[in-house]
Amino acid sequence: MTLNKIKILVWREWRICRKTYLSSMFSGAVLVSFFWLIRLSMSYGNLAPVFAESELLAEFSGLLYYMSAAMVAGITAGMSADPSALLADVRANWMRYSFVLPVSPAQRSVSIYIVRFIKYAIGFAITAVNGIVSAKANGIPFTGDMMWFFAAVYAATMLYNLLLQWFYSQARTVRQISAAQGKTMGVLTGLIMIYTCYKMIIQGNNNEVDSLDVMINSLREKFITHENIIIPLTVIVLIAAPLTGWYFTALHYRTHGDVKEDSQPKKRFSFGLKKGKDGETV
Amino acid sequence: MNDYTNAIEIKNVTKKYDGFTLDNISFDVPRGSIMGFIGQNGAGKTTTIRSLLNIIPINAGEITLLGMDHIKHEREIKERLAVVFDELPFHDIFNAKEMGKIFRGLYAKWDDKVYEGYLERFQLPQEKKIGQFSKGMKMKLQIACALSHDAELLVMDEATTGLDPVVRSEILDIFLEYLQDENHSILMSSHITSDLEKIADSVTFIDRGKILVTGYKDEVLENHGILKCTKADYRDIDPEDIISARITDFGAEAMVSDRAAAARKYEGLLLEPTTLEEIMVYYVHRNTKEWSS
Repeated sequence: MTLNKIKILVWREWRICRKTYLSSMFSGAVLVSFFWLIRLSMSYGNLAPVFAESELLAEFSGLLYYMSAAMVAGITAGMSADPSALLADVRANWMRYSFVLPVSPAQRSVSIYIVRFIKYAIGFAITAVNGIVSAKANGIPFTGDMMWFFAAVYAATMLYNLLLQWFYSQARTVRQISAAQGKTMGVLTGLIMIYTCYKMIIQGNNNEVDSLDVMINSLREKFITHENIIIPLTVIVLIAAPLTGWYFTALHYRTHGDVKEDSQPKKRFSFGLKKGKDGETV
Repeated sequence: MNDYTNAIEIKNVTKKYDGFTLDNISFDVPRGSIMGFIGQNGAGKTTTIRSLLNIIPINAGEITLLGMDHIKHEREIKERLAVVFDELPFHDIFNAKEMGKIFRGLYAKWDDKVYEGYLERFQLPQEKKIGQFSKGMKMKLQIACALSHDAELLVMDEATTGLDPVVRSEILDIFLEYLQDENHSILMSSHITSDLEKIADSVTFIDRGKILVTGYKDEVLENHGILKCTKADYRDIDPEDIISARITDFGAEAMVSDRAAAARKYEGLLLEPTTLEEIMVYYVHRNTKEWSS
């Protein structure tokens, strides 16, 4: 019965978010295709006379090899942490209703993570195919470390996901759930800015900006140099992040019922967010 | 199946919010009966229902559902109860057939035939998206889902609010049919007292987080009455005997909670029977004692 419950919850979750997910993946594919068209045009099309033998083509090939993979990974990660299903549940009152169903918070949380794994699996497969195709097309060897590079990108996105999930677990209102993504991005941007300031000001790293090709190669070299640390760390994150996220989600489901909001939400400045069914009567 | 006398037992339950307290409330819903839970908006009906369903944790007290502790046996209780909320809690993208599929996976005792029977009876299309349903259709769908897994206890939170009289009457008939099985019980919260007068066996009246009246509906109606008199006569009435009084240009109407005693004490005054709605209104004004409409 437990398995049946999880199965049906997965089906329900996927049914709600599949349209948004697939349309986002399609948008991502269109974006990547756009770069591929430019790349092909540089080799064989109208841009070939100018770029066919140029260094820019090599740089652009590198860009396609790494960046499109990172982009697909990013889109997948973004969609995996998509709050629309959660918000839809709250707005449709399913969140409240689910408390009267014979399912535990843990079962609901498992179903959400299964859907996320499906999204990740699809994203990872597309990333890998994109990597293999671009490696072949650009004459760059597709090695095992490339797969670990992808895995590291995914691990990073899972950490983002985990932070987001923590903010969700703290949220008690539709407004707070909507704000969770902004908070997560804010924390990450803050950390990146602190790191950049540290590198630029404290360490005084004011070197000239390298070419894209050099930057990508240097990134790859750094990855290979530190792979003894990065690979185990990636594996740990890939296992621990979903487990911790699952716990936060279960916690969120366990505690979200304790919502007490103003029946008449106060008017305040908002960034165009639609007012949800915030009001709850006592 | 465990044996129990009361489908719901609420003992000294307290739930505190900022600016609102559900204050030490107690009442029982006997097995095989329907209790009307009445009170104005914000009185604490929804908080009580959410507390007993363990949607929100309580600060103090004990809640027993179907003879079991509402927290310790939560999963088992939830297999055997059904809840109907004032608003449909299903996503607009699903249709009735898909909702049946979801509930089939969630309830061990889900019965497709019963569900399809209700859909047919309510004339609900199986393939049409819920988002395109009218309010009445949405409520019927929710009731169809609630009654298709052989639930012993049906809890309704303002389920008939906002529905037209025809749909309300149809739904009330369904509830009466459901009660034909003596193991079935209903707790129905509403501020539409006319519905409860039709079908309830007992009533509980809550106001500002406190239970003011609880008992069998007929007894409650029999005990309460309205004294109709002139303003001069009203001044002779002992304030202790009345709940509150409505003062009009033509006289006064005072609610008493012991009709027999009032009839003996104020022999010359007109004492009329009352309704649940009037009881609710007069109790709401109990602190001001006198009011005018």
